[in-house]
Amino acid sequence: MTVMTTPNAYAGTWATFAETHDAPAWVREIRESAWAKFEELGFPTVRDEDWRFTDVSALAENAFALASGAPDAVRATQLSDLRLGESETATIVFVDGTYQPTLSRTSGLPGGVVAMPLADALREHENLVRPHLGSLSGDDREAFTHLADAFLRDGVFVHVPNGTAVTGAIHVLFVSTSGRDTMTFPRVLAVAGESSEVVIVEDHVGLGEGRLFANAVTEIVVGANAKVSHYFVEQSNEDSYAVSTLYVSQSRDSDFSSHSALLGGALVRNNVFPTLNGENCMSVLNGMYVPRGHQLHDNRMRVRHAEAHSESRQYYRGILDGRAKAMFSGRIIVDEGAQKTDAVQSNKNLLLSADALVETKPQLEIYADDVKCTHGATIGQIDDEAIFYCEARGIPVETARRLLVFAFVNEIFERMELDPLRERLQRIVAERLNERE
Amino acid sequence: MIKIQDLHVNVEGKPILKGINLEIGNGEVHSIMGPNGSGKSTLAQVLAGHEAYEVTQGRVIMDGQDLLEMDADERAREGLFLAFQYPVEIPGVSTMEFLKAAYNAKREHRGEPEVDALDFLKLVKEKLGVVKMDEAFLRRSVNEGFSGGEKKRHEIFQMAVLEPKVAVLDETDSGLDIDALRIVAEGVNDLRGPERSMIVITHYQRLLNYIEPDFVHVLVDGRIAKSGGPELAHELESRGYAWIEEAVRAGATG
Repeated sequence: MTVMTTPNAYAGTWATFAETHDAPAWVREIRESAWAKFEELGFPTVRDEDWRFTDVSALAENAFALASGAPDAVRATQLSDLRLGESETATIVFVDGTYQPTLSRTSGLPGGVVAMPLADALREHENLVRPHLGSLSGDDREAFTHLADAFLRDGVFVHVPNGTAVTGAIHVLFVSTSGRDTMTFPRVLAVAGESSEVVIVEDHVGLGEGRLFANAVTEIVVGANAKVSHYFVEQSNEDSYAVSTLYVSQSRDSDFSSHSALLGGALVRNNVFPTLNGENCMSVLNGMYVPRGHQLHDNRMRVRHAEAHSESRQYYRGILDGRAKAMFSGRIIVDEGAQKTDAVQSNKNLLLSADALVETKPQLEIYADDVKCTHGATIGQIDDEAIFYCEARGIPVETARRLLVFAFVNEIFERMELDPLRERLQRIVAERLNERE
Repeated sequence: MIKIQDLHVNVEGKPILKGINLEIGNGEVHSIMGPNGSGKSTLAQVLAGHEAYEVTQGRVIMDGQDLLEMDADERAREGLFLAFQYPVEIPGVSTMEFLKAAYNAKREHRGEPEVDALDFLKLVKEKLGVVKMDEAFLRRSVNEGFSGGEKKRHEIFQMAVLEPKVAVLDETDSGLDIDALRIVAEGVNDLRGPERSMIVITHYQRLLNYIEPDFVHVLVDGRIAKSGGPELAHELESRGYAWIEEAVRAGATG
């Protein structure tokens, strides 16, 4: 038997990276073992069931170079539209993979709360970081996550002590400027202690042009009885590749919500993988995707109920225009002991163009015998009778269309409690609909 | 106020209305009755401007203007209102937002600025009283999860807010219990006025106990077979439609 081995295009980049970016020994170990796993797995191909429609061969074939962000590549005024006003308790900004101290501010946080660059936390808070970093999903990590672990260097670390509630949001901005075949590894680790509360906004925004590749990994540890909300906004430039994976581990009585808004990118893969590791957990995955032109937005949910008496909700809606493609795959895994699990999944899609394509797929893996799992998916077009009803009230047809399309995702917006961010997203979606005419 | 002249309408190539003539003056209420399939709802939909209905002949003049030359939304802005037999659900659009869009479209058409949010809220609250609806309706999605009676009351409420010149009520009474019917009828009576014409399409004479029409027309097989005063409705109640249908057949064959 002959084994064909394709040389990994990133081997040279990684070797140079590992040599030139010093880190504590335990971090270097993470990098090395992750690299070994990535070399073994390689990039997924369209022959993988989970990547059937999402072709990342361009990433495998061309070695993207590590982006190097200049300290003053972006001015504060360029970010002013992204700010959350008084709701923004702390801000941490990265530009092209590099932390920007002058654009960041964490002084408003309550005592004991840590929000800082991960590179510093690796040294200063090893005891808080090490137990969680890169550990959340055990062996079930994606190839892309191994790649991100192999290039682990910096990112954002948030730690909220037991019983502490952070009012407002911790706003993490990963900004990219122009580049050509460059890559970044946006990274977030957030640990919320018992009975704590925190809102984290992860904003990926492209201010420039060119084919970029962002491979984001976020790990969130939700302590017992804690309440954590995570917002993910994907707004990179429309030539870019963006793969993001959110790993969440929930302890008992915790309440987690994930809100995603996919707007940008050429190819976006949004993985949301919560594990409900305790009883009486609530996990809400709420998201929208609005690809147009040739954009592809691929959403993969994997909700694992590991213990009894927990609830999960998946609400995802997509509006597709032009020749856009979108996927939604919602996997619910109910472990043997997870009796009385209550899981709901709903995915609805609205096609504005005959050339748009959507695939939606529920997957239930249930190993317990007393559970309630419901799922539903729809793909449809604008209801002509609803348009006529609006017209019959004097509303011009274009306004009626906008009203109906906007209403389609409004339910998703309504679950977003962070007003300034929701309003920003609503504005963007409304502008897109206006641009159609 | 509205004049229908020799109106012929096809649906999917099949003639449904075969020459309707009707003239409704300012402030008049005309009731159109008739058996199932006689073309009552077709008349309502074609007046409102639904694209599935093809006008093959005839004219409709509203306030001196050719109604059929206008798109559905323009007709509404010019003062036509259709209370739908089956109001459409619009998930995600609140009743308030919907009404405001409609109200402002009308204002813009008249060259007026957008309504002030507080003024509009005041107006809307006042009009809710016409059909005894709760303020909570304003926050609910248009018709979504409304009961049959709520949907019909909602139609009359919209009419109260939009103050049309010509209102067409398409079987607004069908399927209502007596309490809901009374509320809807009272709402309609409230909105009667010297500057408003109404066409009340109904299958059941019962409605006309509450809304007294000036004229009653019986539609059979796409034509008005008989017209009269309110007493005609009572006659229909006791005798049914068969005698008129028979007369039409006799006329057609004879």
